[in-house]
Amino acid sequence: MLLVVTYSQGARTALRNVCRAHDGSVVRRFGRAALFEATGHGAFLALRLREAHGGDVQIERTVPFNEFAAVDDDVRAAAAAYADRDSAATPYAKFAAGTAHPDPDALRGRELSAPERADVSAAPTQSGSDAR
Amino acid sequence: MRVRVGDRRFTGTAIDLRSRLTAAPPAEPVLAGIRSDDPVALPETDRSIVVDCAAPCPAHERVGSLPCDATLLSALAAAARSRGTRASVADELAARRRELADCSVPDVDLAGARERVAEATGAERRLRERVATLRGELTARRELDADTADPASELSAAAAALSEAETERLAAEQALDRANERAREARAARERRLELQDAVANLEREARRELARSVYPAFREALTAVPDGDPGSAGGKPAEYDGDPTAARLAAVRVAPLDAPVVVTAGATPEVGSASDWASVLDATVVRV
Repeated sequence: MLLVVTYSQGARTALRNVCRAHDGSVVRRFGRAALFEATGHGAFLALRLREAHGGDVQIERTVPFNEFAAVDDDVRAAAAAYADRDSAATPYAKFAAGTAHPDPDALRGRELSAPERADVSAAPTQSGSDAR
Repeated sequence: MRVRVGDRRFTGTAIDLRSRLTAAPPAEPVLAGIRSDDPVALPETDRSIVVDCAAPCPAHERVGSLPCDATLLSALAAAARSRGTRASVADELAARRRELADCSVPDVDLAGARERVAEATGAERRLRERVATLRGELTARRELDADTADPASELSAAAAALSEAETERLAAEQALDRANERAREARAARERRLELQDAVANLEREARRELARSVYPAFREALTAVPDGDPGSAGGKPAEYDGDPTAARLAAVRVAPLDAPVVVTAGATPEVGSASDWASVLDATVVRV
């Protein structure tokens, strides 16, 4: 999907108007941000907003997160173990200390594996850049 | 108040241009004349109008001309301001406005960097395919014992080009990464600016509400003096008013300490009557056009 985030009153209002008028291509709305369908129309709506409001519109492309492809097993295991901890007040850093679980600094240093493919939900289209 | 239209002169607190002139001017040039010391040209004639009167106060912007479409809230807030009332949030509002004016947001243009990456990626892919194709041809020729000199040198050239394209693609990606970092920082500044814009808007709303409420008792009383005005419909605050909207506007004009004349366009409902009828309803000097 396309994540559109606005950074000014004008852009925010414009996003609201777009979401109202084109709810077919709008997957979700969150106030100053929204998720559009990753189709030509969704891209068109997002780019229109950027043409009108420049840097006040941020557009990101999202993929459903596949935790099995993106991170190693120890990250998933750490998340599961932490969610299951005995004491709710324990911060993760303390929880992980002295265990095999990776500490937060180590985690911050790790990059995710690149996503295998873009939006699963998009229909296959002709690659635009080959047309040059 | 003195009004001169062309070479006709009028004096008084209630001037009725509609009944005194064959063609009364429209409201806009009269308002312009009230706001200025200079003559104002009248449309479709070669005459001008001069209005000699007290300077208009800020409330005049909102309620100095009837009919008007100011909301009750904004009309009463303007009246309160012109009476000298200051909202308790006025200082905070001024401070936020200053902060907002000082806010500067760097412009980061990423489109060029993105386009460079897209082109470099495409060029690299095409060259990779070309190298693969040429390699295939070369292999096929070798198997046939055919001459390989030309394809070999083509392949060599293509491989060199591919290497350059790869370097360019990496450089373009790095440049885009750096630009994205700058854009992220710039967005933090934009977000701060948006928060200030919202804070200013909220404070302005709060100020308007506070100011309007401060004159609400006077407004309720003023309703008794205007046609269709019913003090019983006023409620405790502007949001609770459920009486006649035009009566509300007339009462708001009464509340405003207007020294400059109100311009009443004939046909403004309700039709109160002559300029002096209007002057006594509005408790103001009036020019009727």
